[in-house]
Amino acid sequence: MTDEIKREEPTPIDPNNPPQSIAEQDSKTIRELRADPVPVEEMPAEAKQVLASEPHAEKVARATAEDVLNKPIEAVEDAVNAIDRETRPTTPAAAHAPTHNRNETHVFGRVIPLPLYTVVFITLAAITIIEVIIAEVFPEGIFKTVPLVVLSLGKAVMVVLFYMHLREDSRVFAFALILPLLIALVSAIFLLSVPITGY
Amino acid sequence: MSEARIDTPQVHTHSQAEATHIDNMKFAMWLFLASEVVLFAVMIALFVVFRVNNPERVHEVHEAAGILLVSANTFLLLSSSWTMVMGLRAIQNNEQQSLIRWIGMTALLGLLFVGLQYVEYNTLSAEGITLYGDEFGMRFYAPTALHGAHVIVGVLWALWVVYRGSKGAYNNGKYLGVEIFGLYWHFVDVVWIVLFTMIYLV
Repeated sequence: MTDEIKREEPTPIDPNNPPQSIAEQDSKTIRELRADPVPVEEMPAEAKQVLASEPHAEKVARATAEDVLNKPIEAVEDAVNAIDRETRPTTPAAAHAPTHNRNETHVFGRVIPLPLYTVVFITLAAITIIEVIIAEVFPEGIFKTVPLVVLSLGKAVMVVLFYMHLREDSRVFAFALILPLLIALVSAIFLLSVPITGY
Repeated sequence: MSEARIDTPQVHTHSQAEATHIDNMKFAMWLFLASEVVLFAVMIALFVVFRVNNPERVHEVHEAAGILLVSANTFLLLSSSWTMVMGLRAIQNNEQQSLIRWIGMTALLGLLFVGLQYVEYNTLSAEGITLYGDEFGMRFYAPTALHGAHVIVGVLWALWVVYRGSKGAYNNGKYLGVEIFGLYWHFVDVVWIVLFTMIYLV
């Protein structure tokens, strides 16, 4: 039984001509290469000849064909780059941290240079200020009660989703909050049907 | 085609057992929070029923108390929730000193909240709003005081987390203790968000 694993000898590296890393080789996109073509002077002699002998009409046709063929490639490249930019961690530590630990937050397509938790905190504080203003300024009635209740429920949901991580954790946990609240709501409505004083 | 296998030997890798433990601990915490929701929800429901039936009395209390103090207190508690998650974030990035600072801050803000609540109770009782003064008293003091008690427990728990953190009990692979405390603390914050609106603002 010769189960020895044959190790392939690594190719010796020529120090005068180190191999390019894959990242370096692929760092230019098609769009960049086309925007910055190789100058005619730097081309090999054969290429210069071909270019010189090519009729103008053929040149235009070739350029048009290239344009058409490159459109889908460019689109794919743009999409990949966009995803790459969105998901690339900003620091080495952040590379291993969960998504909510990044140092920037994407809100409706805008990038805010603050952690998600801080953005949530600022939002909660702002909503609270709005609530206090509504409570102080608006007269008693449905137009005061409804916005206040909606805003406070919004705040509670934000804390549960972002700070208690229900957005990422099991949705089963949500029942722990919703079921008792439903029962309390029904009992409150039921109690409201009871006369408040004896006859 | 379906197969039911009950005789499979229980082979757990370490990480599987760890994951099950974490899930169980979190689930246990959420079940505890569910029981707390029942408690607070009933009290809030009773207050809401009283509020609907006695709008003039609640209006009188609002006029007497004002909302400046309690709004400040709300900001303290909101901030403490923020310092709490920032502490969790710190330990997930393996910054242990930072964890201790953030959670210490959380404990301090919680303590300030309780202190201001004590001041508020004194102000209210001076205004004649007392526990047995009228039907409002108990309906107001019971939920807010129960919430205050939760904050006191939370402050003690935060100090415990700080102590454990100073002993190096947490790192970026082991922070369940911080996370479970976070669940409790944020729940206390959520309760206050609802209480603040229902009791003081509406």
